[in-house]
Amino acid sequence: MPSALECTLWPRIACLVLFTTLGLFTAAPAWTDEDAGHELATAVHERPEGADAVTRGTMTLSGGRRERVRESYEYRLTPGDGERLELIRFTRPANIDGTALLVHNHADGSTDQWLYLPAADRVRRISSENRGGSFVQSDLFFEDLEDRPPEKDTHRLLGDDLYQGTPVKLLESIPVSPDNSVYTRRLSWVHPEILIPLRIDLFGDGSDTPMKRFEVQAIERIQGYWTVTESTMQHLERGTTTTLSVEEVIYDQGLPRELFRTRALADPARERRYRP
Amino acid sequence: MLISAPSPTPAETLRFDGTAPTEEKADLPPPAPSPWRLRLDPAWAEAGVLGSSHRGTDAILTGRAVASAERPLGARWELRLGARIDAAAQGGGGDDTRFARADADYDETWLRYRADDWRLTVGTQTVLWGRVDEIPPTDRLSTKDLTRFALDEQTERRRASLAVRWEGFQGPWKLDVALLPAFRPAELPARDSIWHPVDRTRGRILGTSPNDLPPEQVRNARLREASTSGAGTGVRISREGRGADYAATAQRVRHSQPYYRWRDDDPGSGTLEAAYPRTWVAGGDLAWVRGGWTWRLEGAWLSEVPVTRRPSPGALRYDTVPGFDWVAGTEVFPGGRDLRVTAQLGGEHLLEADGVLDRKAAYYLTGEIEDLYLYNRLRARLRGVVGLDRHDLYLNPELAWIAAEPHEPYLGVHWFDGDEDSLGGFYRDRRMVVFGWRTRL
Repeated sequence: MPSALECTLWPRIACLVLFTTLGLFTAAPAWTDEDAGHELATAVHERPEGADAVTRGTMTLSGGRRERVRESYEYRLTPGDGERLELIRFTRPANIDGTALLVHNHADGSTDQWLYLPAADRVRRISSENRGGSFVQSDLFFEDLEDRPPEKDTHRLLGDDLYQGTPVKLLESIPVSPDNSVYTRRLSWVHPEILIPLRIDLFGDGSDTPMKRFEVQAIERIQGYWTVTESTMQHLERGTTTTLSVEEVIYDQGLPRELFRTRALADPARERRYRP
Repeated sequence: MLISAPSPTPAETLRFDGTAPTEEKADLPPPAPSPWRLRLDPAWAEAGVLGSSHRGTDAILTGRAVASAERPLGARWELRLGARIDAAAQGGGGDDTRFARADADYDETWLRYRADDWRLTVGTQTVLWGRVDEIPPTDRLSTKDLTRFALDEQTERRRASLAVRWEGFQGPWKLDVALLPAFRPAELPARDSIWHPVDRTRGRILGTSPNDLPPEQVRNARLREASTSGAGTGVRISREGRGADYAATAQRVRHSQPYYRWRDDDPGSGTLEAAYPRTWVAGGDLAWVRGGWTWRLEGAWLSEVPVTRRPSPGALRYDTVPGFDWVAGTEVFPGGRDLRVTAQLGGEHLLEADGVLDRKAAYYLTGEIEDLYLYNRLRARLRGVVGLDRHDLYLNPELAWIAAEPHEPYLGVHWFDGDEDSLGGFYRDRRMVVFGWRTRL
């Protein structure tokens, strides 16, 4: 049985949000180890996640008088040459049904990104620089969805801790350049065997109080890959919460590269056969 | 071949919220979904109250519903049926222009065959080419919907036309070929609508000066369509891949928007004829991202643009001349958050056009500013068009409550101002406050 690990879109946030921030962690113990921190961050980023995955997920926005629910499919292909290709297609609510985002993350760190709006039936190239923009009006920023290599941050292993009774490693990540993140610091509680962050506190503007908090409620092993199936992102300043649920996921179907062209972005019928 | 996701066993589930893993009960298989996908997209209703002291009408009511049903027919075929209803009423005020009407029309209704590297679509459809927002110069195949002038977003200002469309794909390349066997002119509003380009009350035609066309003649003129026939066709080759997207197009089409001329060039005929001259179009577009800025360029050369000449005092002669339209636009998220700004600088030029009454060059700026407030529940947006070489202004601020999705109540203003022969000047008395509701189901 392979001991592979996986982060798909919703759970991937746990992997991606892991790395950042500024400010001194005043409680840092004297045995802080930057090498061990970088090693842990690299292990989290590079863990096996299958060559491809298709995930059906829901995102529930809470905090107002009425919950808002988004449903989507996420397709991910990792060709193995340092590229990461992703297609996210929304299917609910009706006002964003069919809307899709195609992201090509290249090995050199550059990104090409296109948005498809069905009402216009037109593919639009868009910038990936609005990291602090809210993703479909949720508590997630676009940066929370980025494939963020560990080299963009400096990491320190702060020591051991407990999360909901589970032993974890406490990791602090600070951006190498303040320009490459909306967060000034991230503090992650990482499961040492599964290598998934179970909680991430996200700090902004040099504050000692976290702006947002990501927490994992459930992880399941599916086709041999550990998968975060229930998680939340709280915007602590606003008092709003976005709940992320993975309803179904399929790994290693052999997704074709053609599925990640703009032609598929504008033609949902081409992807339906790969849905769970 | 699809692989079914195995059900996790409790031993393979870890919980971190204090609850114990539970064994999932086997669910009953869900009922088979209907192959039909039914949509109401969009549906909206709007009330507008005019505020100008020179208004001829006090209020207008407008509504629209576009319904569609879509289903696959086997692995490669797909069918779509679409229909729409547009309703409008206006009344009150000093002019005798009250009316109420509803019109039914087809929407996109087609049969599509999808192969691995190409697809063929036959039926009524909207072929929307070009890359920039608002006024893409190479968007010449689509049929314009002028029933509300430019109040709606660009994508809602188009009607479906009968077409055969073949799209071929090879890697990042796409070849798009469209044939429109019959010409469909722009959809115009009711004759007495405040949005009609010929204002019978004031004796004015949109885009012309009262010095060139005496209001008395226009006021009493009859309107008729010039005979139009002949197919339209176009080809577009595009590439969307790493670094930049670009396309080139060639088209042979009729102008969708009417150009009014006196029948037989004789004002004494008392008849204004809507002309839709055929033109060759050659153009291209380009988009790339630099830092946080997305840049879009687009231009088109046209062989025939309608104009009016004055060969002698008092005489008018319809003619066509070559023209060139271009747009350079950008999109940016200042501050890297939800604030989104788009801006397009555009120009329209008539070539070899000495002695024409029409403007030989026009420059304008269009754009949109949008942001979210109240924890992403309220959207504020400002759309606008500003003439750069003359006084011409259209502004459309809007507040929309988006927390009740897919429903969206909104409040907005349409503000026009400008010189007599400008768009803003023509619609100056149509300034209004609107409140409405839109949805997609």
